Amino acid sequence: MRLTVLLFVLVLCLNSCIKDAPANPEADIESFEVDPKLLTGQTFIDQVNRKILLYLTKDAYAAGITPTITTSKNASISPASGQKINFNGSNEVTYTVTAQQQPNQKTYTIQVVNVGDWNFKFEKWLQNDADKYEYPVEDDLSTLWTSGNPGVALSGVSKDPLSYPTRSTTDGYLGSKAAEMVTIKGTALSSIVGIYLYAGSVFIGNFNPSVVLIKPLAATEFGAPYVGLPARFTGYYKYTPGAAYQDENQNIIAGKTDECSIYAVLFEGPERLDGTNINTSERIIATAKLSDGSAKANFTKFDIPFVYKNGQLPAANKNLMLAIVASSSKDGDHYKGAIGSRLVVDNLSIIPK
Amino acid sequence: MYKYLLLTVLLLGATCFTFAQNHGDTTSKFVHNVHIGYNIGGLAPISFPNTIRKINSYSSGFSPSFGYELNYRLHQKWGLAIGLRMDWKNMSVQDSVQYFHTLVSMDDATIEGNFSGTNTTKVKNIYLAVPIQALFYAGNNWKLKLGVYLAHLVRPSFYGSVSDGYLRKGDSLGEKVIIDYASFDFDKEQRTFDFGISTGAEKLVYKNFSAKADLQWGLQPVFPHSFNGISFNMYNIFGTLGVSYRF
Repeated sequence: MRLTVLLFVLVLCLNSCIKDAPANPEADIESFEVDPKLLTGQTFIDQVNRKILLYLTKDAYAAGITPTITTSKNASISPASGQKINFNGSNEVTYTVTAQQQPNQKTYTIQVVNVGDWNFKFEKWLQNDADKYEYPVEDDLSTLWTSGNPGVALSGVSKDPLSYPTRSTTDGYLGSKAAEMVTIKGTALSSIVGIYLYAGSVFIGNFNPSVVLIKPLAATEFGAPYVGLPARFTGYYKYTPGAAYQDENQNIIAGKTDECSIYAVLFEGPERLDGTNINTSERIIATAKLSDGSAKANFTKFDIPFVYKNGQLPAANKNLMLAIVASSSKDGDHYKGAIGSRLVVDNLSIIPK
Repeated sequence: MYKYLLLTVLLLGATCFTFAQNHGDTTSKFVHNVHIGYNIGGLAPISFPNTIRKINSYSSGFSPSFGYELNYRLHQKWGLAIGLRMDWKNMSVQDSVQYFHTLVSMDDATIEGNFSGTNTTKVKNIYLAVPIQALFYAGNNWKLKLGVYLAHLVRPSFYGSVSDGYLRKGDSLGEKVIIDYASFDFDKEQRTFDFGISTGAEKLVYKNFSAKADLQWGLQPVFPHSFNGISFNMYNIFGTLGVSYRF
């Protein structure tokens, strides 16, 4: 009988042995609010690279801003929320968040995004510290472009730039480097969630990993503020489709050849478009789309005019944003394409009106 | 881990040896028993880590146990028991976890991080075990047992899901990835060998029928150290309530 009592005590213990909650180890900046009048585009918190991307008006940049910041529960932040920050020249503005659970700390850097001329040569690349994928940066090391690589990193590929679908290549048109996108096979882990293929992609905008498992198309947030009106989208590319086209369930579709996709979309901001509505949103004003996504063995120039919806130019007071997207598989966003499809793009430009 | 096993076997061996010396002349007596029972327990940590915040539900599921046991009486008070038993060591538990560290590897893909949310674990292991025990005849039809068991995992089954939460990639400072539902399956990650302490009591209640209760407490973590899917050691801790019949 004593043993029965012991067993009973053991079962009771299941609940009574619950310990006190651990101190919160998280140190996120969860929101970063700035008076919308001072912004040309929505603020983006890049949790992967620990950056706050700000799209400020000239006046706001000159005068400084006073953001309202929220952090993970019980974390502290310095400089504090509500404290004015100024941008004086080359000085980087950083925020340090200290978690309730010491010594966890995270530093976010403010990046004031300013797209000068829309002319991209993909010469400079950096490597993500934790996952080792490459991403293109501008001359001043700011990030305008991103890719699907942070999402691929979640499927546990090996930590090597070449195991990711998007990376740099020395096989460029001009200069020393270009952006290379290769459609790759999914991993054993990604197949659990039904992903058997990842297309390479580069795009102007941000990648939001938080929603990548529940709503993958919403993870790619497209666009940056654009001043003026674009006339043409130009650049160089070459493309080799992979051998066998497969659908989202890994079924080979005989006779179908993969195609690349390269396009630019002008739309009404400041809210970004994402993978769910980049082709369909009411806010789209003009598009410039490469119509021929077939194989090109050598670098081929494209020069595509922006087609304005209904032939009408937008009102002057609109908050415009522009996105450029390139992918090694046209339907890669739906995990369809041919493994091995390879797209290289270089010298992408937006020619203003 | 093996040192515990070795120690217990040595102790037991020494005990037997002592008995053999002292009571080698006692008339030996074999008794055969068969038993059937029901296992209640779990694959659990000895002490709950603070990342487990709440047990929402627990059930032992269909967990029968049956086996055969040979008793050998060495002495009026003492004896030896060796047996063979089949145990369904099942558990179904749903708990709330916070900052729960996990690393999942499949082929050459690996994802590591801290999960906060709901965890559902279903264990349906079947073990074939050999208990080796010293018997003490306590009088009044009571029989007490203490010893070890060695077990082989015949059918591994350990699976479940994480849901309604988020993963922090890498560690708690990594980016947040919201998880609606994701399943896991660690069947093959479990060790196929288990051993531990085996203790119990039986009372003859009617003719040749006894009521019995025993406990098998695993001393070796079910997952090897190389496995990082669960950040704490889990042991097979199961009690059995049942009846046995001697012939």
